[in-house]
Parts: sequence; C-alpha cells; structure tokens
Amino acid sequence: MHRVRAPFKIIARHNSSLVDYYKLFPKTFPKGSPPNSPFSVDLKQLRKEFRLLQSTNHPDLNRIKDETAGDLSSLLNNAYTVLSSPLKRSQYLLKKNANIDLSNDSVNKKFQFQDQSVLMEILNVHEDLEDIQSEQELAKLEHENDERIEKSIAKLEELYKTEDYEAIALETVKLKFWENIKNALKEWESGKPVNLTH
Amino acid sequence: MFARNLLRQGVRSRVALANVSSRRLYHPKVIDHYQNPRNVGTMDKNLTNVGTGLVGAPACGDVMRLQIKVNDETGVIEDVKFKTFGCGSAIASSSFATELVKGMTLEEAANIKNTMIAKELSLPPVKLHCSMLAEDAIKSAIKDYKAKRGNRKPTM
Repeated sequence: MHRVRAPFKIIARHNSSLVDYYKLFPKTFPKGSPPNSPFSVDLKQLRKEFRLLQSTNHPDLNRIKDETAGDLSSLLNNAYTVLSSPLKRSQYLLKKNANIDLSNDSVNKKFQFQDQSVLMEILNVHEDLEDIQSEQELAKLEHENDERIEKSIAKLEELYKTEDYEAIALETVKLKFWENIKNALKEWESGKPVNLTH
Repeated sequence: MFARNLLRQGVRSRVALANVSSRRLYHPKVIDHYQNPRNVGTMDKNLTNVGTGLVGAPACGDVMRLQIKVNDETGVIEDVKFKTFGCGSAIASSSFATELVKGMTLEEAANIKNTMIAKELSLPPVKLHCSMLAEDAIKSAIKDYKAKRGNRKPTM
C-alpha cells in the first residue's frame, strides 16, 4: 500500500484552524473550497477518502515511530467532522474566506438576528415542543424542521455562488437556530423541560 | 491483567472527575433560576402599554423574548414576563433580568448592563453572551414600548 502521509507533514505542524480542510481531500474536492467548488459535498465520496486516509495515517498502524501521525489523524478527524456537517462547514468557510468568526461575541453583534418573524417561529416551535403529547406530534415537528434545514442548506448553496458573505453569515445563523431545534427534538422526553445544551 | 485493571480504574476516575467539573460549571444561582424561573409567561403584545423584545444569539442560537408592562403615567415597569429557548445560563440570565427590571422606571431599566447580570450569576467568560442577550432583550422591549407610544406623550 502506498503511503499518503508525506505531503501532510507540513500541514500537520500548522495551527489546525488555519488549515485548508478541503486540500486534505483532493479526490473529493479536486477544485478546492467554494467558490471554486459547490457548497454541497458528496458525503459518500468524502467518507471513502477519509477512511482511506485514516487507514494509512492512523497512529496505531504506524510501525515506524512518527510523532506527527497522531496530529495528522486528529486533523483528519476534525476536517471530516467540519466538512460533513453543512452548519460547521459554513461556519468554517465564513472564517476561512471572509474572516467572519460567528463564535466571536463582538463579531456577533453585527449579525444579531433581526428577522423577527423567524425568531417568532422559533419560539412557537419551542412552545409546541413543550405541549407535545405523543410520538406522532414529535414526528410531525421533526419533519417540519427537517424541511427548514433543507431549505436553509439550499439557500446557502445559492449564496456561496454569489460570495455575498454577509448574507451567508445571516443564513448560517438561521441554520444554527434550526439545528438547535433539531437537537431539542432529538432529546425530547415526555415531561422533561426543554432546554439546550451547547 | 492487573495493569490493565489499574489502567481502567484510572480512566474511570478521570471520567468521574470530568463529570464533577461539568456539573460545577453552573453556579448555584444559575441552577436556582433555571429550576425555578421567575416570571415565565406571555403578555398580549398588542396592548399599547406592553413592550416586547425578541432577540436571538448568533453564536449559540438561543432565542429570548422579554415583555414589559409599563404604567403610562409614571413610566414604571409594573410587570415583566419572559420566555427563553436556550441553555441554562440564558434562561437564568433572562429570569434574573425580569426580577431586576420589575419596579424600575424605563430610564433605570435602559441603563442595565450585561455585567450586572453576569456578576450576579457568576457567569464564566464563555457564557457572557447569555447576559448580553438579556440586556439586548430589555433594550429591545423598551424600544418597542416607546415606538408604540409614539409621539402621544413623552414619559416623564
């Protein structure tokens, strides 16, 4: 088996937040990151390449002692986690392409969510969540929310073509709200108070 | 075999330690507000003496609604209600904020800073944005009330 390790040695020494995750998977992203590639990802292909890379770079498999192997393996894990999630992928691209860090409180202010109708919708879903009586009702809310997430991802796909990063940031924030609802629905249990953990 | 057991125990006690520290993340005051939130509820947002603030935090995706009922004559906030969809710190911040503004004049309430909320609840730095969200909710509720009153009559 040929080793794919060598080219990554340089990358592994750098701060992982600055690494171009897309370059770690050249077969999945021959053209690199958006806007050169579409925002959507071929998850099957990404998983395949990820597993192949991990199989040749996993620290347990290294017969010759190589202290960078562990770093590379965890770098690949991080990259895969980020790239396979639309929300994390968009948050990462905003940071990489436009230097917008949505996790930063001061940057946040600028992107404080203004759309009152969306905030209202979120609170309404939250109230519905507190009133759920049956699994069928839960399934209905889950279905509705999955549709919101799909719509939001489709919109991001279009926005990444225009490279309008302010609009992308706002849509990413919106997606974060829907993902929170998704998690709350996943953790819903009868009679348990609804709250978020993050 | 013995060594492996030792190793396992080591791992287990480390896990236990991690649990303790994660439980300690929340200050008792946060837990108190979280378990017995004050002033949860809704007011009719169409009433002219009710101001509604609805805000969302981009980083964590928390949503907070804070409503104030104002005495048109005195400008005093007579009643407050909130509803928050978020983490324990966000719920505690908004719950404490309602206690804080009740009985205040609009001017006093407008001067509330997130640091007062964060200090009272001993929020760690990563949760400061929860108190900022509560401050924003208060300001936004006041703004909404004032916009409703329009130019009819200035509050004293």
